[in-house]
Amino acid sequence: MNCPICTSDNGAAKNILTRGRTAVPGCVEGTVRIVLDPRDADTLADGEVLVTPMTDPESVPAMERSVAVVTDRGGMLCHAAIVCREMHKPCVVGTANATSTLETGMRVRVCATRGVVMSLVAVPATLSA
Amino acid sequence: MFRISRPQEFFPASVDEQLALISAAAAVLSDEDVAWISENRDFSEAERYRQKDEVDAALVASPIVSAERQRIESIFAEEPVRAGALYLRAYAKHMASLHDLFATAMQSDTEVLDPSFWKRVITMADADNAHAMYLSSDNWPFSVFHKLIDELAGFIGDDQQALTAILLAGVQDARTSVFNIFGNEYRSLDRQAFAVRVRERADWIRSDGVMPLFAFKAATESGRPHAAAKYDFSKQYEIAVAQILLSQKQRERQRFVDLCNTYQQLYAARAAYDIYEYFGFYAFARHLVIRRAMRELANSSDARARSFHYSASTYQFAELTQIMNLEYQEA
Repeated sequence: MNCPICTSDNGAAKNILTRGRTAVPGCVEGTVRIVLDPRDADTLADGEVLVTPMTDPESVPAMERSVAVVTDRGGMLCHAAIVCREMHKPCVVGTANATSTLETGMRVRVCATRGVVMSLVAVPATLSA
Repeated sequence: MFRISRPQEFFPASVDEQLALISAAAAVLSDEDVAWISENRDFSEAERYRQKDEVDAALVASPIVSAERQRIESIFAEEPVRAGALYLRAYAKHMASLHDLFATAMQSDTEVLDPSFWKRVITMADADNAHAMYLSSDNWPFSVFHKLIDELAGFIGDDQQALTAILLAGVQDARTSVFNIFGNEYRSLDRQAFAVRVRERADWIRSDGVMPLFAFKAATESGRPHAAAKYDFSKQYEIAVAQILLSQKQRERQRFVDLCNTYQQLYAARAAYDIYEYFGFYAFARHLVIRRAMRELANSSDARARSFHYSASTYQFAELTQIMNLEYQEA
């Protein structure tokens, strides 16, 4: 599916870091916060991207503060998908590797419409192969 | 045409019936017992997520879970609308049996000492785990929803807003709705004071089946209404279904309505399951019998009581066979 934001940015974000399934469409930019244990979800600041193996009920307040949610596991009706759908928040699920590929502090674009997370920082040519 | 079912329609007993059982049981519990039940439910949920891989492995290894999974999967070998109806019948039967088992135990002082009770608990709870896997969770390759979602998505096409509204089925999830059901009545209380206040207010169960005891954090910590509160999910659902319906050819409309109704009923049943099991009656009954059994076991062995507590609290009922010296019962 086409995303108007991604197609009109002249390639500012083109390095796809991970792919998953669109649970809730939308395209936003933010800073990654990896949360491996739901009990650490309080570390997430307003406007960050929550990246986690899977959300749980403990994560709901952090999900509300986030701009988008990306998970390793889950499908169209997993906890993350349902809660984000209710909050109208972009969500990519089932990436398998988001928590190991992304790092806290990375600036990314989450294009949930296309089910991808992209780097907003240019990758040096030596690393991009 | 299409209709919206409410989760309460899928409870195995009315909320009034649940309240009567809970009130009678609570009347003989101490404040410490009530606080323990509230806290142990939170412990059990947190631990279940923390030990997810181990818990999932135990589910896959259990012959009782496997047998129930096969039953569910064979139902869904049927065409999805018919399968949905058949599954809801099987689900209602299962939930009624589960409710009867625990309702009886709640009303008995001696049931938790009876090995045959725990044999039935293990069988029933493991079968229940299979429903959790395919109805309430979406971490498995199969779920009762997958075929329906695929076919619905085909009707809806690229209209992501309509798809989002239809997938929400006009029902708010209990895990977000609990953030909106409290005012300041419990704000800043610790667990013990919270339990005392719940008892004073006789606030055992709300009309939607949620027990405040199992929403400790939402009741005591949350300071702002949840964003989802501003959305009327039923209205969004109705508008989305009507809009997609208009875009369909006449001969395809009935199929779309049938798919919507089946999906919506399953989704409401899923919401009912989550409320009843994690926020409602079953959570109360389960942690109550765990508390009673632990006390009895501790009379002979603290270590055995501790093992029992951990396995029973984290849904690893098969482990109880060894702890309780029971033979494993094949499904």
